[in-house]
Amino acid sequence: MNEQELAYHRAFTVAVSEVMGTMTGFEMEEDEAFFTPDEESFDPKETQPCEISGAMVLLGKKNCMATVTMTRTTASMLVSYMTGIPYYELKNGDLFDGVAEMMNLMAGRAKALLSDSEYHFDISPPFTIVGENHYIVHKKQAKLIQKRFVSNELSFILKVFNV
Amino acid sequence: MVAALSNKEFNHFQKYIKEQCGIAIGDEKAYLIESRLTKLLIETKLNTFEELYEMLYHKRDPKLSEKVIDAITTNETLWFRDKTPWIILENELIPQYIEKVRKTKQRIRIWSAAASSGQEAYSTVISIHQHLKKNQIKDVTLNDFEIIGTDISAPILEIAKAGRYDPISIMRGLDPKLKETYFQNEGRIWIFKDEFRKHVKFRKFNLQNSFNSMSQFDVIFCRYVMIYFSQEFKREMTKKLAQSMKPGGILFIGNSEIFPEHKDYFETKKSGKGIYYQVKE
Amino acid sequence: MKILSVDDSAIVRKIIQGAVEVLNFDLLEASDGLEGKKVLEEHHEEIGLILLDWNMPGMNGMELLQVIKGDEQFRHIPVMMVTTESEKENIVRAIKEGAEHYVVKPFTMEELIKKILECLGQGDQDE
Repeated sequence: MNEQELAYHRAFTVAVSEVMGTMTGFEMEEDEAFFTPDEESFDPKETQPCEISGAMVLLGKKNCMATVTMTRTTASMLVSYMTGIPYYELKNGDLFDGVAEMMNLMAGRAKALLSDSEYHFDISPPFTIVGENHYIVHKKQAKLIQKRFVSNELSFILKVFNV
Repeated sequence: MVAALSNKEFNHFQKYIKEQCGIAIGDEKAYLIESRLTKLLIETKLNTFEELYEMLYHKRDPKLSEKVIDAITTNETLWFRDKTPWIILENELIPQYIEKVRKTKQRIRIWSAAASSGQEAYSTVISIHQHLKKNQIKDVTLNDFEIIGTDISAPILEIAKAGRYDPISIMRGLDPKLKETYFQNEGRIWIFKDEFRKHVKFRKFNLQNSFNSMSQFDVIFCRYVMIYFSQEFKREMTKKLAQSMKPGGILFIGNSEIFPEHKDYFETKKSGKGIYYQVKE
Repeated sequence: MKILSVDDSAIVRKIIQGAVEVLNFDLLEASDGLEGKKVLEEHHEEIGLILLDWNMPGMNGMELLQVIKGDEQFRHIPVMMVTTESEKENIVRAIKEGAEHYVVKPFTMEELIKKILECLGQGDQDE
């Protein structure tokens, strides 16, 4: 990876870490051991089945999509800590809105960090993809970022890819 | 340069924080500084980090130094922040204080010197009460402990006095099991129960003033506030804190704070993963 | 006294509700600019502060801000814009249109509470 690509990766890592730390109190750190073989563009079999993804389109020189995919348990914990609503009282609407808002804030922070670079972008409104055991699957060549973030038992996978 | 914060600018801020607060930020944390300062750049309506540093350096905005330090250091008030002071309290200090109360009948005095919205002071009450309860101690009670919380901000102290916490703040650092015992629920708001809240007295106090009115303490929490002070004032504070200690008095500062000029007045003590300072004879 | 939160995210309004209630105020909510205008018309005598999101469907934050500051009935009510960091240029525009304060997401509850107190003139006094 060249310096600029490294900077792009770091912007998202910092954005995730800072936003999640502030909004939920959880320090989400990059799982350095996370690895997807090049031939596959979707998650390795070892990860838990995911049910909720926050998503946004990033509009720049090259348009991208950013997604953050997690289990319902992780989503419930994160949204619970973000809002103060006990996880067992969370309605679907709150949960899906919360994940979308997380994605919105993370992409917004990354946007601000990259605003003076050649990777600057605008962001679409966020949306949520919901479905048991779903994956975000894209063409291998489109892959830009694929990282897993963890804090204790919680984890999610961030993907950024060209569209 | 892809990053908005250049190496030169990062080094300026790195040096400033080291000199002002005694906090060493490693080179690998450049992105952290940039991220934290970006928000401040927006708020100050400046365009570059260079301009921000210039303003800081030439002291054109008296509150800017505080805002930069705030932006870079974690300033969120949490329950049982850093954890280790409370572990040290429960395992080492409270047993000693119980014996002291039994022997001398004197109250143990504890000062939370930057009390903010009260979590530190109330965490102390919880720690003491938990220890007494777990060890079934009946002859010593919370009434044998006097806890004072002070802060420079009157509005924040009002929140502390009321012991009212929003549903998000209540979750930050507090074991959910403790919530039921020590708080009552009012809609979504949590209020520290009266029977425990009455053991803390909050008042407005500026640490730059003389400590004569504060008398002597067994324990002082002075955490994440000295980072805002000049080197000279830190030295003065260290002396004032030492003079406000009872013999054998204990000082807790922030876990990531450096306490450079303490050796004349305090001895460093280690306990498990934590450090505390005991006043010298 | 009531505080009005105009934001298309129910989650953000929930977060704001916590800060408002801990300060012993009541929250009024609206999910877009038009709804915000209706709530204002009905309750403006009780509203002491408006927290206004920027990006909303229909009437957005800027448009509602212009309505507020252009109307004698509402003009006196302080407005705090709630923005994300990527919207710096919007903050400058909002201030020009009369917004008195802004808070940048993500924020901690402590930050939000302090900002609300500042808006209501109950912030820290300089020693």
